[in-house]
Parts: sequence; structure tokens; C-alpha cells
Amino acid sequence: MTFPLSFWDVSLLIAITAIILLITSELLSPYYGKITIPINRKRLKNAAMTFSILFLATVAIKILSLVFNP
Amino acid sequence: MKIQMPFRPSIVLALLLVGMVVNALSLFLFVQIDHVVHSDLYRYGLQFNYEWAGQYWTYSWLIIGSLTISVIATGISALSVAYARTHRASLGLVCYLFLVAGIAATILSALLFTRIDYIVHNDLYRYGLQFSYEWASKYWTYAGLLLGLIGLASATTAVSTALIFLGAQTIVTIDRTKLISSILISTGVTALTLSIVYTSSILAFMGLGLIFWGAIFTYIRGEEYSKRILLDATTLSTLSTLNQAIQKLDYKGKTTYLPPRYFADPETVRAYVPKHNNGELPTPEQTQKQEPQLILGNPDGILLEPPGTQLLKLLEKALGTSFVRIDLKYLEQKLPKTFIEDLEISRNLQIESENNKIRVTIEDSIYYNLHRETRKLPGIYNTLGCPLSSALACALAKATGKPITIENQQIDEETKSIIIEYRVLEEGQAEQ
Repeated sequence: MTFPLSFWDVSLLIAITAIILLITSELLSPYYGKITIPINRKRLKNAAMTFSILFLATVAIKILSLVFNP
Repeated sequence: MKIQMPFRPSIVLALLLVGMVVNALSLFLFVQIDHVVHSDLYRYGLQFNYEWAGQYWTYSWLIIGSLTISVIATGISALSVAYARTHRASLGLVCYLFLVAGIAATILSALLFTRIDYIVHNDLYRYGLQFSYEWASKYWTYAGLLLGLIGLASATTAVSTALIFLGAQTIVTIDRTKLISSILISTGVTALTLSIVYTSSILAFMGLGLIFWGAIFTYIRGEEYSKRILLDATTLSTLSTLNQAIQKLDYKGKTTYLPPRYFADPETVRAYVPKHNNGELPTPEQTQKQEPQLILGNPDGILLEPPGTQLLKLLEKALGTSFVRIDLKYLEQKLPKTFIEDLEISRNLQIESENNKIRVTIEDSIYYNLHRETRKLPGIYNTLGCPLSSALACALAKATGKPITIENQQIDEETKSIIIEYRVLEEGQAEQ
């Protein structure tokens, strides 16, 4: 019994989630977006940023592994 | 969302009996499958060997044991429900435990059967078994029926448990967000577990995705919002009373927002309304001396708590600092973000200062209607302003440390903007 996904697969999933959250966060932005949806915009933005940073971290890990183990 | 679910023991009892019968039928079907393996397969070349038989028997006995436990547990639960129905008693924790044990045993038997299926379809071919549709179709029919019945038994027992649980409480409050997130997480965990068992990347993607979204839904909750119309309805009456009081007392002078240095408390801002049109401002010493009084005698005037005081406190809380500790430049930079992002008071806010004049433009504010309605109250509108313009005047008084007056207020109907002009009074002007 092994986990069937590789590091890159998880990275891809995080990237997709981050993109969806970032777009939603922008669409619901109080500056110009639809503000009638009762959702905690601050938390949505935090979640989007967290997933984006997680994705960038996975990319950084991959780059570092390529640099140190070519 | 509130659900009222009366406890119906007859329905629960019927469901439990169905579950018990279905479990017993599953046991019977498994015995049939065992019969196919131990009699029919030998006619298709299967050679007996303790290597496969040992494993097969272990799983076989475990399946029979778990299905028997399931039948007994469901039966005991059914008896408890029947007793509760006859004696009008409530169901205890033991009943729940038996039901959960029954569901767990049924699911375990399904998982164990997948191992037996693996032995039949993989291991036995290494011991001489020849594939034929004659034995396979019989085996597949029984296997399909067995798994279907196990699923049905689990479902009926789970529904009975849910009905008993919901019936135990008169009113059940269901938080829709919590429900959705827990469904997403539990489905995700199941998919992820199955993906590891079957080494399926599709199931793993689904499972991880569902867990991610479940966690996001748990974190991002809806916020409590109230309709804008309620704000106008609740605030206008208070402002109207204040307007009547000022007009009745005949205070005609121009209102000045006095900064904290005029008072003992360093956080206080008060609005001073002089008795006459050209009434002079009090000195800090005079206000500190007469501060607890509402009506001042020297000079003639009234000291009021501005209508925007609470909004000012909210702005300070959102900004994380008191306006006393910041200057006008900092206010110009930070207040728009607090207005737009943190408190969502307006869609845009612009503060422009030139010499002693400060011009504030508030675009599409939630206070727009209230501000427009306040125009009908001249005693307030021309002196104290609406809660929004009052809060901004207080903020400016605190940030500049100087008295502030509202010079002009305009409304742009087209862009739904409120434009307020404030004047910062210098020491000489203040004393005049």
C-alpha cells in the first residue's frame, strides 16, 4: 500500500486550488467586486495567500533539489 | 437551519429489522460463495494447498464472524428500540454503541471480502485453476449480490442511527457550512484511504481535493450581515431626537469638534455647540473645569458626545491604534484601507488636505442613505453631521490635535458620493 501521488501531483493540486481561491478573492474584493456575498473576505484572502505560498514553496523545493542533486 | 424530528420508533424498528435480515442474507450468500470455491473450482483444475487455503480460511472466518456480530448487534439494537417503544423509555448509550459496532462490522466484512476476491482472481490461478464463465458467472453473481446487500445493510443501520440521534433531540440546529465541510472532509478521507488501498491516483486526487476544500470551507465562514435599511431605521430616530433637543434649546452656533487636550481623558473628543452664531470657543482650562456638565456657562454652549463616537472607536479598533498617536499623513494613508477592506464602509475613500482644509470623498458608502436622510434634520446636519461625517471629524480632531469644524457637505447622486469639507482651526482662530 503506497500513496499513489508524487510530490509534483500534490504541487499541481495546490496550484489549482490557489488559482481558484485567488480569482474568487479578487472577484469578491470590496474595491470593485461583488460585495453582496456574505463571506469572510479576509479569511478567503488569507487562504488564497497560504495556498499560493505553499505552491511557491513546492516549486522552490523542486528547484533546490535540481540544483543540489542534478 | 433548524429541523424538528420527532422520534418514530416503529420506523427505526422496521429499518433495523430490515438491516438484520439483509445481514443474515449476506451471511447466507457468503456461504454460497464459499461453496463455489470449495467444490466447483476443484472441477476446473484447482489444486488444494495450505498456502492459499490458510489465508482463505482466515479471511473467511473473519467475514463470517463480522457478519454474525453485525446481525447480533443490529438485533440487540432492535430489541432496545422495541423496549423503548413499549415502555416509553429513552434509548441509552449502549444502543448507539451496538449500532455503531454493527455498521463497523458490516463495513469490515466488505473489506475482507475484497481480500478473498483477490485470492480467487489472482492466487488460485497459480494452483491450477482454469478460468471459465461457468464458475465465474456464478461467483460474480453471488459476489455482486453480497456486496450490494452489505451496502444496503450499512445504509439502513446508518439511517436508523441518524433517526434515533435526531429523534433524541427535539430541535436540531444544523449549520449548513459545518455540514458541507464535514461531508467534504469525510468523503475526502474515504477516497484517500481507498486510493492507498487500490493504488488509484484518480481517487487520491479526488480525496486530496475534497480534503483541501473541506478545510477551506471550515476556515472561511459566512459573516453576519444586516440589511442597510436597518441601519437607517435604527439610527434616524436617535438623530431626530438630538435634532429636536438642539433646536428646542436654541443653540445656533457652529459646531466644533474639540480634540482630547480640551479634556481630562486623553481619548475624549466632544462636539461643542455655542449658544449664538458668533459664539467663541472655550479654552482647554474652561472645558476641563466644566467637563462633566452638558451645558457650559462660560462661554455659553453645550458639550455633546458626537453621534460618530462609537464608529470612531470601531475605526481605531480596526486600525489597531488610537488616532491620538498618529498624524494627518498617516491617517490619509491608512484610513482608506480600514474603510474599504476591513470595515467595508465604502467602496472608495479619498482624503485631501490643503492648508487648513481637509476634503473627504466617500464613494458608495453604506451610510449614503442615512446621510441623505439627515439632510432633513437641519439642527444636526449643519452642526454635528451624520454619524459618518461626525466620526471622521472626531478622527481628524484626534490626529491633528486641533479643533475641527464641518464646513460643507455635498452629495453626488450620480456616483453616490458624499463629499465633506472640514476646517482645521488654528490656535488664534480657536480663541476667537
